[in-house]
Formats: sequence, C-alpha cells, structure tokens
Amino acid sequence: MPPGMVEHMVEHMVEQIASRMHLPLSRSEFLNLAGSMAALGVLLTLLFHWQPGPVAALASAVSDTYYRYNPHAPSRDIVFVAIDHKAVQRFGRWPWQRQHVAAGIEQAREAKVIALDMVFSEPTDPVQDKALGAALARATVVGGYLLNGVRNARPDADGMARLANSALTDTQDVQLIESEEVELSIPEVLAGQAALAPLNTLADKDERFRHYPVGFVLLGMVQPNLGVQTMQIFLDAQASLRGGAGVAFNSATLAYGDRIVHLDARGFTRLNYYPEASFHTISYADLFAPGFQPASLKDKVVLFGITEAGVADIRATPLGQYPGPLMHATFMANVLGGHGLYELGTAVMAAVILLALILTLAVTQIRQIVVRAALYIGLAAVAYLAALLLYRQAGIWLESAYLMAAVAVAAMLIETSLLSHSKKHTEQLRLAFSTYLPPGLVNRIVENPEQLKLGGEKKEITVLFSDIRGFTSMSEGVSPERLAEIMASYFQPMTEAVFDQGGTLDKYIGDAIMALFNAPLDLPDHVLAACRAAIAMQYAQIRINQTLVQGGAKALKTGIGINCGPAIVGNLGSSIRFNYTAIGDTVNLASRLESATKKLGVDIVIGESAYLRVKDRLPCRALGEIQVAGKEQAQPVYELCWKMVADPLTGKILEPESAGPAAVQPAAINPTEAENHA
Amino acid sequence: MRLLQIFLVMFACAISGTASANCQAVAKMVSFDGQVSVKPAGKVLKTSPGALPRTLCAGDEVHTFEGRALINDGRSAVALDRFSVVAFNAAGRAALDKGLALFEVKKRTAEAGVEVKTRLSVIGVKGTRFLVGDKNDDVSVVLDEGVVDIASTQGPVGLYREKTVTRPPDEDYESYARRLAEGVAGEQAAFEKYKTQVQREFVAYVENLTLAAGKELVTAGRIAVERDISGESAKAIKSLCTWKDKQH
Repeated sequence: MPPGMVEHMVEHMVEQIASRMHLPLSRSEFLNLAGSMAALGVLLTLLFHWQPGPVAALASAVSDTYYRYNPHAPSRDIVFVAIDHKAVQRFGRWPWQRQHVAAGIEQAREAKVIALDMVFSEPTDPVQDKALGAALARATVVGGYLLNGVRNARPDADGMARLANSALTDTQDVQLIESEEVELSIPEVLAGQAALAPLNTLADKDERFRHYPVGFVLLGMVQPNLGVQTMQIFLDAQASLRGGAGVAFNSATLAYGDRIVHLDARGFTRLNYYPEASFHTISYADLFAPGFQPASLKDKVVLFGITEAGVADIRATPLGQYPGPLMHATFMANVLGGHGLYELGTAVMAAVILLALILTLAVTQIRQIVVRAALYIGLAAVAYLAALLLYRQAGIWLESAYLMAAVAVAAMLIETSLLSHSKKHTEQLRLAFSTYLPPGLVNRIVENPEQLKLGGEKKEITVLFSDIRGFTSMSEGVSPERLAEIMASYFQPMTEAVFDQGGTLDKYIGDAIMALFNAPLDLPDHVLAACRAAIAMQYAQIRINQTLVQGGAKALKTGIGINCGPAIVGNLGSSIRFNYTAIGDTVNLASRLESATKKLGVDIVIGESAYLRVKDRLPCRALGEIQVAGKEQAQPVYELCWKMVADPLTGKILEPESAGPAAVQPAAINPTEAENHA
Repeated sequence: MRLLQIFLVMFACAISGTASANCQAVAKMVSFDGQVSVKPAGKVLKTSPGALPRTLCAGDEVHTFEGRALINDGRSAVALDRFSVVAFNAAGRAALDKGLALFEVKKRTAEAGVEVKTRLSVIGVKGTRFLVGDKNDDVSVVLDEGVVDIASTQGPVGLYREKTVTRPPDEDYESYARRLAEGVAGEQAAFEKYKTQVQREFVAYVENLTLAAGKELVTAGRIAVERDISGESAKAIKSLCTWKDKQH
C-alpha cells in the first residue's frame, strides 16, 4: 500500500472523529436535552390549554401590554351617553325619576339604534313609567336585562314572548352559558323596547375583563348580548352563530354577513380595548345643553350607561378601571372597525411553542456563553415583538408569555446540560491526559480546552524514542516481580524527565518510551525541550543504575532518538478505542534513530532537522549518514553530547548559555564503519 | 258628522290598501302556543304573532322556541315543531331552515303542487303528509302518506338503502359479537355496529328520487339513506298530528 494512501485514510478517520467531536453535547446528552425540551413543550401547551389561574394571570400580565399599542380608534358612529358626575349634579343621584330618562331618550331618538346598559326592574310612578315606555317606543331601543340580577325570576308569558323575539335562531353547535332566570324591566318599559339583550359580562380567572360573551342560552333560547343585538339592528344584518369544531382551533364565529367575530369554545371573544378617552362620549347633562343638536346623533348607535362613581359598574380591564358600558361599546367598535381579535387555539399554540424551543435548541451550537445569553434574551424579545406585530397588523392574539417561558426554561435546561457536559468533559480531559501529560499541562488543557485540537491535525512536532539496550538478556535472569520493580523505578524518573520539559508521554512500548513535544499543546522551543528531556533521561539512567547495581542487578543503558518534523497528531484509533498519538515519517525516523544508537555507539542520536534547531545551543557531533528503512536517501545523524550539558554530580541540566559554545566535533568513525566494527 | 265618518272609513281603507300592497300574503298563522315569533322579510327584529290569524308575507319567517305554530298557505297545513324556523316565500313554496315541520298537503290543491326547500334538497309534493327535519348535520324527509319527489341541491348523492335486520345470521353474528364484545352491553354495541354494516347497501348516485309512503330519507353531506320510518320519526309525526288536530 502506498504511504500516501495510509496518510489519506488516517486523515479521513481523524476528520470523522473531529466532526463528531465538534458537537457541544454528546449524542445521548443532546437526546436527553431534546427530550426535556419536548416535555417542556407539552407542559406549556397543557398550561395554555387549561390556563390555571396564576399561570393565566402571569401570561396576561405580559400580553395585556399589547393594548398600549392598539393602532385603532373606535368608530365615531358609536356615541356613549354617560350618566356621569355632571349629569348626577344636574338630575340628582341615580336612579332618577323616569321622566328624566325619557327626556334623554327623546333627545337621542334620531339615532339608528339606542342601547340601554340599564334595567328598570322596579315600578315607580305609573305615569312616569308609561312616559318612559312611550319615549322608548318612539325610538329603536335595545333594552338590557340581567341574568344574575337581585330580582331574578322566570319571565311571564309577555316576557317570554319578548325574549323569543330577541333570540338568535341562526345558530349551530353553540356552547354558551345557560340560565333559567332573568331580571327584566317592568312591562311598561319592556313594551317600548324593540329588542332585549342581556348585559352580563364575565371576568377572566384573574378577575380582569378581557373577553366578551356574545350570548347566553336562556330557557333554551340563544340571547345575544347587548353589543351583538345592537349591531344586528345597526348593520341590518342577522347574526349567525357557529360553534367551534373543538378546542384545538378557535373556529367558532359570530358573523354579520362578511363581518366575522372570532370566538373561543365558550362563545367569548377577546375585546380589543381602546383608551377610554378615545370613545365619542357625551355627558347625559349635555343632551340638554343649549347648543346640543339631536340631529348630531342621526343614524348613530347611542349607548346609554352609567359612569358616576359609586353607581357605575366599573370593571378591571387590561387598561385599568373601565366603565362597564364601554365593554359593550368596545365590542361594537371592534365589529364596525374590523378590529376584532383572533386568539390562537391550542394546536397552533403548540406548534408555535415547538418552534420557539427548536430555535432555542439551536443556540447550543454557540460556544460563548455571553453570545448564548444574548441570543436567549433576543429570542424572548423576538417572541414578544412578533406577538405584538401580529396583534397590531393582523389582529392575531398570541400569548407571548408562553413562548418567553419556553425560551427561559429551555435556556436553563440547555445551560444545565452544557454545564454538566463541561464538568464531565473536564473530568474526561483530566483523566485522559493526566496519564501522558504533566499536571501543569493538564490544567492548561482543562482551563483552555479550545487550545486543544483533539480531532487530529498536521503539525510540526518533536518525537523522542527511548529504549533500554540489552533489556531482553537482562530480564531473563530476573524474576517477574523484580522485573516489574525495576521497570517501575526506570519509567518513573524517565517520564518525569519528559514531563519536566513539557513533553507528552505518548505511550510505553514494552521497555521503550515514546514522547511528543509541541502536541497537544504548543511548546515554543519543542526541539530544545526534547533534547533537554533526553539529557535528563541519561542522567536519570545513571541514578537508576546506581540503585540497580547496589541491588545486585546489572546496569542498564538507554538509547534515545530524537527527530523533528511534521506529523499527524490527534485521537487516532477506532470508535471502540482510540488514544492521543502521532503518526508519520517524523515518528518513524525518530524510532529509527533510537535504533541506530546502538550501532553508532552513542546514547542520543538526533536527526538533521532537530540538529539545525539546537546546534548553536547544545553540543552536537555529526555522525555521518545512515540508511534507514522507508527512506531512499541516507539520513544525516548527529550525536547529542549530553555529558557536556549537565552537572556531573546532580545531573541537573545547565542552561544552554552556561554550557558554553556548541562543541561540534567531527564523527570519530563513519557510522557504516561503526556498524561494521559492531 | 256623517261625512267625517265616511272620510275616516275611506282613510282607514286607504291605509289598509297601502299596507296590503307592501305585503304579498302567502300564508296565515292560524294557531300557536308557547314562544313563537315572526321575522318579517328584510327585517332583523322579530315580533310576536299578535292577533290570529296572522298574515305572513312573502319571505316572512316563523321562528318557534318553546312553542309550536300551525300555518296554512292554502295548499298545505304546516305544523312547526319546537325550535324551528320556516320561511314562506310564495304560496306552496316553503323553506325549512332549522328544526322539524309536518306538511300536510291538501288533496284538492294537489294539482298546484307544494315545494319545500331544505339545506340539501328540494321536495316536490302532490297530495301527501310528510315530516321534514333539519337537525345537526342531517336533513330528513319522512313520508307518512302519498308520494314526494326529492331533488338534491348539491349534485349527485350516494343513495343507500337500509334493510331491516331483526336477527343476524347466527353463526356470522355470534363470531362477530364474540370478537367485539364481552357481556350483554358489549354484545348490544357489537350488534348495533353489525347492523349498520350489514343493513346499508349502496344503490346508486342520484340527484332525484321518489320516496314512497312509509319511508324516510336521511341526507347527511353527500350520502342519503332510505329506510323505513324510524320509531323516533313516527313519534314526531304522531305528536305534531295530535297537536295540529287539537288546534281545530
């Protein structure tokens, strides 16, 4: 097999591992995280569907802010006549004598329809009651009644007939709140009203009024709410009510021809509130002001309601305290202006939450935590802004709080996973490298894992090979236990010598040591470091030998080969087992140089590339050229004269400067000759 | 004084004439009980029937709630059941929008014919008594007496005919029931399911068909099922007939 092909295969394998290692999380960690986020999505969807009180309140606290950006204003065709403080000052405390009410109705009789957000359920002076009935009869009036009034009762035949006349019949599959009793106005007043309508509204779970019930079922009849009934008359259009197919999609509707009002499964529509001041409001007292023109109300919808403090039904709404009658006005303005809102159903919301989670999950690809944090905040902001945009531009109501919660909780899950992964990864790094790197370098790797290219790379390194000469013959005369002791006492100082110079212990191969310099972490002067490690190893050998001889064993001799050049380094192996090592010609030559020490009769042999890097700092001697396997041309080799660069007593390596000028001496013998002599 | 009286009578007649000119009388509500309203053509608001007989103009709708109404358009008597809506567009031309109505066509006016529109079909009648229902998703025509022609207004529909299954083939059903059910309730459910499968057989795609007395046709979407009058339908006919007879 050609040598280039081997390198290509190795490079491919390294790329494979590298691409896998690029993921911030392992496959199983990623799957666990994705599973947790899927569970989060299901939980949020269920919370959205059931909307427990506190959750709904929190969600609404976010979405209620949309109303501040309502771009619309209520139609000027709706006029609110307020029985306010000014009117009370003029006509006295409410309830008034009915002649005063009749007078107000007379002033507004040119309106196309008058809606009364009030009930006259108690008889007063018969003359005044009749006068009010007569005034109502001269206009087209929708009178209100209550479904939960203090004087609730089953209506009599006349009341039933009037309720029947007011009922919606174009209905299908509706599920509305049902009631059996009502508080109607007295018959004299009822007689003047063209149609009736309930006035009831219901608060959300947090006691804020956001939704408007379009109708109720009263004694089997679908009764349209005040706003719905009034709009039927104003638009000359029969309302048709269609129930939704289910809870997944909000497909229930109330339609006036082409005007569609979207409803939830209960028959409620979310009101699109306008600021209170934006309604065309007239004080009841001003109906009698000198400059008032009744014709100014011609063809309008005129809603009579009470706003006077202490009497009014003030409601807590997303815009704060709001007069109850304006909820009916808001509904009507939503219909006339086409400003109604469509609330997303559970199925659509589930899809949107899923999208938010997927986008958040994509953030795991970002390695910098600061960037990730910025993206989390950005995603939450985008969720809110997108919901706001949908509200303003399309009238679609998206509860962004659920998306923001999805992003926030998903961010916590992601960061917890990444932290856990980081800890695990750190431990793995420490465990993996502590066996072949000095502790200081291990700490550097753990602290700066980005410096580590574990996936494999081609870089210049220095490779050191050492081997005990005559090991086989020595080991034959020693017991296995004693041999293990000798080897331990040998490898320990030898390895320390490598570590002291910042080298990486690649592996022990029997009695041999393979060490790398400049990998995995960069080492600026790696050739010098390798040479110094070799010198230290030779001095260590002297100390080891002293111990061995004292113990009755033979002295050992170590040959060392050093070569410098490009090699492929990284986690090499199979998916079952791989370890950090180096391969390539540089490594092979280093091994050959080590083998040559015996033939050349020297302790440390370095290759030419290493020699050129250290020749001015360490004493070297040219040994000529040797022919090595796999190389066509003979390779120049040099001896590193280690005995000249260390304290003879301690073996401590002298600094290059103190070692004096490099003592480059000609080779004593030609290597080939030396080989022949051997 | 006498001149004044004559003037007043003439004025009243003029007003009456104006009113009748605006209303093309097509039927009369002759009786009702409970909550019944009339929605005049083109109006949004409904009104109480008022004094009987109440003249119904073309396009007027009769709405019943907890009540019933008997309407006579000269060709047929229509008994409108609870929570129903029927519109009278011309003499002999009615449209059931919702609920249940019993039509009894007078034989002496049979030549003129009666037509009843529903959401899914048009029913042409010549001398008969039939019930029309529009509830939930299906429209039913139940023919008690005579003959009716039914034309689909939604193109061809698949016509199925149901056979009466009183006792299923022993071996076949028993094995089926064993697989599907345990206990009496399970057997019953299995039997009902079995019945719907074996009773219904496809006949043809049709746009028009003639329904014979004693049969009912239930149309839901593009499927029409012809079968014998069900117990529920027979009960409704009997109830409306009894009520109608009491009105006389």
